[in-house]
Amino acid sequence: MKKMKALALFLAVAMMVVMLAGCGGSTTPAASGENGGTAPAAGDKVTIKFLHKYVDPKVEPVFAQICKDYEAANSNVTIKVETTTDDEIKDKLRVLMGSGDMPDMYQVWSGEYTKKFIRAGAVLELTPYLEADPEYRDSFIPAFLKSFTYEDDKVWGIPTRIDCELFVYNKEQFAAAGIEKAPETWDELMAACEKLTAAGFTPFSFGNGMVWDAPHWYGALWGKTVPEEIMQQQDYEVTTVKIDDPGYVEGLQYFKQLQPYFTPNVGSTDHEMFLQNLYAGKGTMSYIEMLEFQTIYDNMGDNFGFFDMPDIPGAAGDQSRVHGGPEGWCLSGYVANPDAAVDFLKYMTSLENEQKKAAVGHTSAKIGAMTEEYFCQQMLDAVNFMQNEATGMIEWCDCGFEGRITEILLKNGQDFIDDRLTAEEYIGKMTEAATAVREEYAK
Amino acid sequence: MHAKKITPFLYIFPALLILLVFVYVPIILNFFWSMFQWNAYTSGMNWVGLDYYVRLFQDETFWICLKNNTVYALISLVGQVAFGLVVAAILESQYMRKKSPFFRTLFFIPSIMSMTVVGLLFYLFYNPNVGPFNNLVHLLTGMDTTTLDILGSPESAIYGVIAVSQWMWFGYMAMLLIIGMQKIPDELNEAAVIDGANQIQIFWHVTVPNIKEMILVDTIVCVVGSFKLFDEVYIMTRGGPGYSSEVLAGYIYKSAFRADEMGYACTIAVVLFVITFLLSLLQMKVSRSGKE
Repeated sequence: MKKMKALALFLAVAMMVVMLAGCGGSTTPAASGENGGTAPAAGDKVTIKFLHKYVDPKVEPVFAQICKDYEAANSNVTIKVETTTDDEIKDKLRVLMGSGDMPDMYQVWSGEYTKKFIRAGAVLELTPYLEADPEYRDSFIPAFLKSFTYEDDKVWGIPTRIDCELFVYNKEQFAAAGIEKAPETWDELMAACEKLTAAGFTPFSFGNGMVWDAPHWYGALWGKTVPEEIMQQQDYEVTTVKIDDPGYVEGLQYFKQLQPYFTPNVGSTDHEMFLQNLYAGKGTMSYIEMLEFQTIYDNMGDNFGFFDMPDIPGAAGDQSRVHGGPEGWCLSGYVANPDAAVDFLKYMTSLENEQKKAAVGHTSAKIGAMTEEYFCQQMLDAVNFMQNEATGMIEWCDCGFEGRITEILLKNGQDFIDDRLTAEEYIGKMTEAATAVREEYAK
Repeated sequence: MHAKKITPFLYIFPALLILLVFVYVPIILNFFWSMFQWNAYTSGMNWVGLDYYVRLFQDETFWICLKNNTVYALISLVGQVAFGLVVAAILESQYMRKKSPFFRTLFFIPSIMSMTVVGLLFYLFYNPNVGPFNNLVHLLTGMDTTTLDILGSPESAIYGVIAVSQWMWFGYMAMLLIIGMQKIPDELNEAAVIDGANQIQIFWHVTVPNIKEMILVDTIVCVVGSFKLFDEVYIMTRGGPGYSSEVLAGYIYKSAFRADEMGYACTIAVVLFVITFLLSLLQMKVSRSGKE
């Protein structure tokens, strides 16, 4: 049956590749599988297959050089690097997973995306290795390492590029509207919106043309209105997911309060377009990923500040968590030589190498890797905020929920904005999908 | 010297093998896989029989996709085949012979452009923030276009996509028909002129009957293409807003690679295959053609 599945996946992907040919892009052929054997003795040749998605022309050579440096220092080790794009890596990993030809070290996102691989036995648990090297374990920002720590405090991945969603605002427009400090509570945010409108500014530059921008707002608001143990521990788990807490509808109702303050044509404004509007001063605030701070800085200089989704006093969620999550690397559960793979992983994420990556603008979960030499002050302040003020993450909801629920979350998000679905109907659809998922995994 | 009987088969064998592996075998296996619940992350395949078919016909999104594909096909028959036929007849008429090559090239060029480029171009063209479309509409009609958002509105998104396809492909369809028209012997047209037929009569009684086969090819290409539609929608609207412009091929992709429901995706693919297969058969039957 396994062979049948591999054949099925191969053919399915072959057909989709033909279909997608017009959309450009290409995938690198999978390297031949060498997994499944017994661990070679020390000194034997070891091949580590490494799949990542950092193909930015500035970043990719740095990764390649680090791999070469590792090979030079470990003559018996060969690193076979495969790269692919952000869009393609999820499909590629699905195929490799189905064919049993997993890379030894591969790219993941925290949350349900990683848990799928864990359930399939395709992830090597890292807890014993980290316990044996506490210095290495403690070298990461705890909130981000926690993103790869699941049931019974087991660690399954190492965070690489860090990210979370934060509001950025135009300092000059805030000052012109008489807003003296960044909003910390919901009421302060609403008051800021009123002041900005009265001063002739549009409070939010926003668009949902890419379909995931609005769900990022929803996820952050649910973090504030849904108890953490329900949202993350119950509803991010396929065996217990329900999505029936009243906090979900409540969170969407808060979103609706902000809608009158958005720039127009939300449905056809994509992410880049609303950023351009922000730069042009057509909107005062945007809710964006921390990863983008450097680009914001390049366009706005020091004329921007940031703040987290304001607290909603009295709401049931954890007010000090931040919506987001790191990207990370997992080691394959089928890796032939776990010790060698762990050694390579530790090398790739050593402070020295994280600093090399940071030097080309690559954010890092490693404490001390990001310095003012390469990043704007706002980015460093955000990292500092994550390190010292946030108690943890509310994992990206579009990575936290199971795929079918995420599909509804994304596809119907715009229907909710356009009032074709009420908050209750929108959540109702997700509840329905959650029931199907839970029942399927209960079998 | 006679070639061995096996020689022609050796020449067609590579093509046959590729077709078998990538077309015919997957089609057959798709029927089989559609009866299992499976994805890349689970260890096996669970037999579900015809459950996915029952679910499919109760699935609101499936009917939206089917409606969108059907609307696309019907509009394309008019916009590409019928309009292409008229354009071809005009370009092949004796009055346009000298100017014909220029217009043929002009109309054909969009069809050789990359769909990605065209999709992105029109995505920006329609965009109410940065594109000129709303201003053009306002200029031409005086209409208030502040709330006009072609791709951002569920009522108009699919029509925005369909319009782009008509612009892109009518020249290609016209070109196929022109090839057919050029095969009509001049004597037939001359005889009709001598008999006193005007251009419209010549078109209906000489041209159309003689290019019936090419019209059939055009309609099959057009209808089957309408049901295979994927990239235009994916680039311009991603099936949105909501599922309003979703099409069957897009739904297959999302079911397989976003929702991780490979079995359900196979079920949609089977239905899509049956629809296109039956439509092709029906078209050949109705036209009593397909012999050339």
